Parts: sequence; structure tokens; C-alpha cells
Amino acid sequence: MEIYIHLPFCKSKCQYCDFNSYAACDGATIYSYLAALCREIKFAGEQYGGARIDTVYIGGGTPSMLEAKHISSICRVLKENFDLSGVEEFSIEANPESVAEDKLLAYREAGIDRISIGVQSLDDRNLRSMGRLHDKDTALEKLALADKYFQNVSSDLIIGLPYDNSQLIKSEIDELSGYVTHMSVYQLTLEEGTPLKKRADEGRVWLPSDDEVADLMDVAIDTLSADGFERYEVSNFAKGGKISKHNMGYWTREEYLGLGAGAHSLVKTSDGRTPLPAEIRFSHPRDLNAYIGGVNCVDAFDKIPRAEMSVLSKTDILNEQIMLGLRTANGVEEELLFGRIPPELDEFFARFDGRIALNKRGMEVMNGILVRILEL
Amino acid sequence: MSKKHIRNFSIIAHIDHGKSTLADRLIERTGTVSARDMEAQLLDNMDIERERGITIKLQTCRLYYTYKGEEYTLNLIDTPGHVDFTYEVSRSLAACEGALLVVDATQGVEAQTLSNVYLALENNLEILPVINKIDLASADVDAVKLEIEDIIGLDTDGCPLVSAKEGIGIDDLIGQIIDKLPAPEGDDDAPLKALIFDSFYDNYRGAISMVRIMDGTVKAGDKIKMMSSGKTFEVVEVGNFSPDMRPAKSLCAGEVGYIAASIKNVSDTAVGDTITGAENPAKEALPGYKKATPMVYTGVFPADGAKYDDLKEALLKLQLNDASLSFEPEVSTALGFGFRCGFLGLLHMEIIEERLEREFDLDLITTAPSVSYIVTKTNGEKLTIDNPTALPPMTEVAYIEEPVVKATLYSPPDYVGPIMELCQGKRGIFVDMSYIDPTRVQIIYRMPLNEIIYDFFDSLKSRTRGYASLDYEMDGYMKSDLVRLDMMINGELCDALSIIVHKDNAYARGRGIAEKLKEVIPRQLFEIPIQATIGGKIIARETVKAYRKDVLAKCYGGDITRKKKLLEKQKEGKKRMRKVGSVEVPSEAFISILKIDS
Repeated sequence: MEIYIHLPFCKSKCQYCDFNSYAACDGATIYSYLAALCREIKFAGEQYGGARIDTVYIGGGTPSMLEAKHISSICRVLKENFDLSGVEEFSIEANPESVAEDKLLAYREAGIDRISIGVQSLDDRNLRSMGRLHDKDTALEKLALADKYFQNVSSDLIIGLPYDNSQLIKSEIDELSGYVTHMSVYQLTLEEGTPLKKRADEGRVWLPSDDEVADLMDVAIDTLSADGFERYEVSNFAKGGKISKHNMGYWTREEYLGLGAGAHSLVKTSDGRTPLPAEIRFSHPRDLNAYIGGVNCVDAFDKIPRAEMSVLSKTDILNEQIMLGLRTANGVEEELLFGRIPPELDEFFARFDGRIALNKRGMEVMNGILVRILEL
Repeated sequence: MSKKHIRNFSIIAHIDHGKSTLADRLIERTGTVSARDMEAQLLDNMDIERERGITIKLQTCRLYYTYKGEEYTLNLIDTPGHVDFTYEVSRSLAACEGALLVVDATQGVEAQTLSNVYLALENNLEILPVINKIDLASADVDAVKLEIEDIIGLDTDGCPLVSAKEGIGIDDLIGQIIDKLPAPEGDDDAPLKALIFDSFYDNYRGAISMVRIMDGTVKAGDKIKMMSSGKTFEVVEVGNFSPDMRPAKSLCAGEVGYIAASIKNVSDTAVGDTITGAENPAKEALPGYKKATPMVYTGVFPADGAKYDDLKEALLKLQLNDASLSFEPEVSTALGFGFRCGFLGLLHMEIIEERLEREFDLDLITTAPSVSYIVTKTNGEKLTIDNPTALPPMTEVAYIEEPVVKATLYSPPDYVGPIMELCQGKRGIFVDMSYIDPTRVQIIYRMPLNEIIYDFFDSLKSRTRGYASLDYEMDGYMKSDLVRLDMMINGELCDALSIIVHKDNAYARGRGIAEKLKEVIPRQLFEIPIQATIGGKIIARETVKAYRKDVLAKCYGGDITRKKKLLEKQKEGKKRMRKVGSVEVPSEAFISILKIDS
């Protein structure tokens, strides 16, 4: 089983961000959130404490924005309530501006062995335009610091920013590969309700076209490959086999508990509410107060309010296996897709050892392919 | 009732010159409908009519008015105001002795007005000019009077000046209707001759004929005969409209009213037909009966294939009320099962489509309109073809004839150049041009109907900033060098996109359609070639490039549900697409090809 901990706090909200995160929260709010989170960890431990935990991931928001002692406390409470002796990977997310030596030391002390840094770009104009709080120099400085204390450093990179061009993408990746063993490369998406979407709709920001982004993505993939990174998932690349085991768990449908506001879980035994063993996805309320209040007024994990919950049918499970499995280079067992791939789609797939996966072109247009092969 | 106390009249007016408002005012002034029940534009009883402010279906109404101490019955027969319905107009005019010519004091005489005036003159009607909207600041009564005298040759001395909207001059108008329009004639004792000028379907009484009794008398229990078909029926009820149906003991010569005779189908009460007595029939029918012939044809398909039966049901229901609507089943490889529908004109088509969607809640896909061609094959066989897909291979075709219209355009002189350029571009043959007055030119072209049904109205309006008006009448057939233009999508013929065009325009139109399709067909997983072909020869090609980017966003924190919802939404969008081979084509593509200015 995996554990995900959500820390929904940021110094400020980035232009493109529609994640569950809140900017400029006061100390009292953060404190009561952490208290509720620890209460939830305790309840979860009472229900699932016997399960063997394989990976832990502290995400956000910006976990590195919190004081080192807060992270230490969360880790301590986790250890008190779960058996972490078999944990193979313990990650935390950080943004360059709030990475500091004392925090890195505290993380290591707490058992964290992997750090993922939200660099996003190494072009100061891009960074400013997206409302990021760091610049290129800070990013490189903090990467070096992280590299000093951690074997396993990852960096995020966004493709399709206003000042992107193939030259820039290539040099960004080349520079980053000096520090990291893992890169997540995402294409910028304009999400409803974000300031960036509004600016784009009003024509106040120039963004590369879909075709240009596709070209930039090709440059990124080629550069990563030249730098020794292997694409093991549509947007994730690892050097020396340092894949993200936690994220891999999502694609292979491992059980996971999501703790914190808006966090999602997948459990495959009883969740305490449904009597029969079933596969269930559920999530907590996104709103901070709804989450805090919800946790504080109950006395068990399964009583915490849920924003969404679905008991998965056989079709749901099969659809998930396909849509998640095909994100990975390893693909899925061929028989899972038996009879589902019309001949005209063959050119988007690769077959090997009884497995089938999307090839590079297939990964580019994965949604279009999924819509055709899934029973939705 | 004595005939000298009856007046039967119509109102002739250009589309927005205030005809319906004037009719409302007359109804109100004569107390036919209480103010409480008065709804603006009472005679336009369909929602669409009221919204568009135009009259589609005829309505009639009996008004009572006391004038100089005597009681009069005024039968107002309202007429539709659009070229598509010229025949219906002519029949309702034939039911009258007089007509009011309503002219907007701010606009003057327009093409539509003129053509209906000519129709009225052909029917020997007494025409009373009425100048409306005199309350508007831009009204120029003297100029309009002069125009009426110059163009139409009517005496405007002392003619009624009204504002239908404000209710000004209505009493004077009614007085003049009684004084100047003739009373009907006819013999109550002669064999029955009743002119059907409209019919409609009533759920309880069946098809109802609206008639003008020319000779004789009709009452419930009488046996009647339709003179065009010889079919006989027994009269169940006769009556008048005021404006709702009021039964009466009988209808006599000179009167206007309705006859209900348990007729199941409106096609048995054809407009223009003569009703006579089955036992004592008239020797000959009233002149002018014409079967309504569709001019424009289009394929109508349900967007959801499962709704085929609903569409059929809806068309049958509309046809009960509208004998000029014709339809038969059609199968398209791209669009599935639907109907080939025939309409009187483009407006008629739009109205039927809108009624299907609105009153029957149907989502429709319509194909490009076509006209009816006469094809003579090399073996001498003649075919009438209203569907491009039915055109035989050109090797078997000796020649094709297409319908032609006489198009009359009115415009300020400034736009003569652009109009002539437009007509020439649409294969028009110049017939005549004359200055009606220094501000108005009449231009006559002989043009293929095929060219008018596409974007002619829109082009005309945009080139003349809305100042030009158009009227047209059928003017036979002519031989033309026509070809079928087919569209291939990803190598597959899309039958629903085929059109018949003149050879000289085929290249431009083929390229235009290919470009348009490239715009409306979304990029898909594969590259999609779009080709315009004539007889298998490719004349234009466009390519919809394969798309290369999906949302490769973060599946954040294990939020799989969101991703699933995104895919479901995408799938839902696909369901609204039509498949041509393996290509998804949005419904609007089929009609978008109309909006090409070539």
C-alpha cells in the first residue's frame, strides 16, 4: 500500500495552477490543518495500520514552504501509526525558493530519500510570466544543494510556455540532467478558471500552438534520451532506473491512501463502509475548513466526509487498467486489449513479450486512442 | 345577409410594412376581439410567425362594423408576404373584390409589394392604397404618394393615412373600405362554386377548407365534390372566423368562411380547387387551380438515428397542415435513414426545419438544397431528379435541363454594378433594366434557380447593404452544362455532400467546399484528405492534418476520476459526429457547404 499526504499551501498561486492549493494562509490555519491531518493519519492507522507501506509521497501545494519541524512531525506521526519498515521510496515535493539546507537535513533525518523540485523552466521570462517565485539561478543553486543531500532528485519541466523554443528546451534539459536522476515533463494545459486561461482567452499572452508544442515535446524526448533518460511513462523520464515507484503505483493500480484535503484514495479491501471486498475510489473535501471540520467531528477514518466515492465495476476496473497501463512504456498484457484495437490504430502501438504499449506517436494522442478503445 | 353589406378584402404589403399590425388594429377597432384577448399580431398564430414578424400561413377574420347606420360584414383575408408563397397569395386574392396596399411611409414601394399588386390586378381587384407608419419622424407621405402614383398608377388622392401601431386613421380607413371596395356578386341559387384559398387540419374535425363562396349556398348535411379530384364528402359544419371558428347555418354567395366535411387529409382540400355540390355540380371549375409544386429539395435526417420514426411522425403531422410539403424516404451512407423533402422555397424550408426542431423537439441534419432537374438519357428516357445522388453516370446522359426563374430586383442606383456582377456570377442573363424614379432601379435577370437557392439572398443583401429586394417567378427550364460534384473524405464518397453545379463553377465551388470542410472537420488521429471530384476526376484537394497533441497533463495525486470524466466527455462529443468511413464529421459540416461565396 502507498500513502500520499497532501499539503495544500503555497506562497502564491501560479498562473496555470488549478490544483487544490491555497496561497497566503495564516499560521493558525496551517496549524489547525496539520492537527487535522495528524488526526486523520491516526484514524487511518487504526484502520490500515497492518498494511505494509511501500512508498510515501508528500505533495502539495508546496510542502517545502512549511517549517522543517512540521514535516518532521508528520513523518513521526506516520511512523507511529504505520509500519514504514519496508518503505522503498519516500518523496517530498519542493519549490526552489523555499528549499534550504536545514530543511533538507530534516527531511533526510525523517526518512525522506527522494525530492522532487518544481523547476518548470530555466528561463526567467517564462518563470515570471507564470508567476513562479524563483529564477534560474535560484533553481540551479537549490538543485545543487538537493543533489548534495539526496541520491534521488527529480525535477518538473513544463513544455509550451510563452518563451519556449527548441533551443531553450534542449539547454534546459541538458542543464537539469547535471543534477537530477528523474524528470517529469508536462505540456502546459489551460485549465478553466485559472488566470492563465483568462489571459489566453483575452489574447494577453502568446502561447505556442498545439503543433509547436508537439515539436518541442519531440525535442525534449530526444534530448532526454541523449542525456540517458528513459521514458517510462508518457511524461516521466528516469536515469539509471530511478523511476518514481510511488507514481508507478498509480499506473499499475496499487492501493493507496490519500490523506489531507482533496486527496484521493484507491482501496481494494473493505473501506469500512462497504461490507464486501470491493475496489473503491474516494476523495476528501477539497476545501480546507470542510476537511478540517470533517476530520475533527468524527472518530474513525471511514467516517471522514468524502467528496467523491465510487465502487468500481468490472468494466471500470478494466478501463482503468488500460488507460493507466497504457501511460507506461511497459504497457499492458496483450490479452487485456484483445479485439479492441481496430486495424487503423495498429500504427500507434508496439507489441513485445505478450505485452502491448503505445509507441511515441501513440503517446502523443493517447486520449484520442483511449476514447476509441474504452467502453465509456 | 344582403351582399351589398359584405366586403371581402386582403392586405398587400412588403414584409415589414405593418400588415399584421394593421390587421390587429382592424380587429380591435371593430370589437371582434375584446381588448383582454388581444395579443399583438393576432392573426399570426404560429410562434415562429410572431417571432420572425412575418406571416406564413393565411388567416382570415370576419369583422362587423356599423357605418352610416348600416351594419357591414368585412372579411379580412390575410396573406403571407414572401415569394415562396406567391401561389397562396394569388388564391386568397382571388377570393376578394378588393385589396389594401399598405406602403410604409418611410420605405416606399418594394419589389414584393409590386409583385402582389400585379397579382391583385390580374384578379381584377380594386386596390386601395394605405400609407402606414405616418407617425414616424422619417415618414415622407408626399414622396410615397408620388411613388405609388408613378410606379403603380393608383390614385392616392385622399387615400387613408394611418399609423397601425398608434391606431391613427383606422376609422377613416374602414369607411373607405366600405365606400371604395366593391361588394361581392354571385347567385345564391346557382350550383355551388366555392374557391378553396386555404386549408388546415383540425384534430377533431379533420381537414378544414377555407372558402369564398362564388355562387350557390352550402350548409351542414350537403354532399360536396372537389372538382380537381372528383372526391365527394358530406358537410359536417360551416361557419366563419372571428377570428376563432364560429359555426353558422349556411354560407351564401359572396361570403367567406369554412367548410368541415370529415376530410382526413389536407391534400384533399387543395388550395385553388373548387368545391361544388355533388348532386348539382357546376359545369366548370373556377379558373387558376394549380397543384403546389415543390421548388427546393433537401435531405432531412435525424441527428440521432434512433429518432427516424419520430421524424416521420412529425413530417406527417406538418403535412396535414401544409399540403405543399412533400417528402419521401431517403437513405444516405453518411447520414443513415431520413427523408427527401420538397419545399416551395428557401423560407418554406427554413420554417419547416425550424418547426420540426421546435415543435417536435428533433435535432436535424439537413443537406444542401437542390432543385428539380430534367435529365434526358442517351436512350431518350427522361428522368426528373431532385437528389444529386440519383443522377445517372454522365456517359448515359444526353443533356440536363434546369429550372430557371425570372428574377426582379429593386435597388437604389448606387448598387446596380454590384447587383449585375452578382447576377452575372450566378449565370444570370440580363433581360431588362429601367429607372422607376431617380432613386430606384428595376433590374430583371433570367437566372437558374439552382444559383438562387445557395447564398444569393445573403450575397445580395451584403452587396447592397440591405437595400436591394428580390422577387422571382418560375420561367421554365433551360439546357445547361451541369455536372455532379462529389466530395471524398479520406477516399470515401460522402453522398450527403454531393451537389449539382454548372461546369464553369464546379472548380471554384469544389475548392470552396473542400476548404470549408477542412475548417469544420476537427483534426483526428490520421491525416484526412478531402477531395472534390467530378466523374472520378479530382479537381480540388485539402488535407486535415493529423493532430499530434493530447492533454498530457499530470494525473495529479492519483486523481483518476478526473481523467475518466475527461475521456467520457470526449466520447460524448464523438457521439454527435457522423462517420464517413473512419472519419468523424460534425453535423454542421453538411450544411456549412452552403455558406460558401464562390
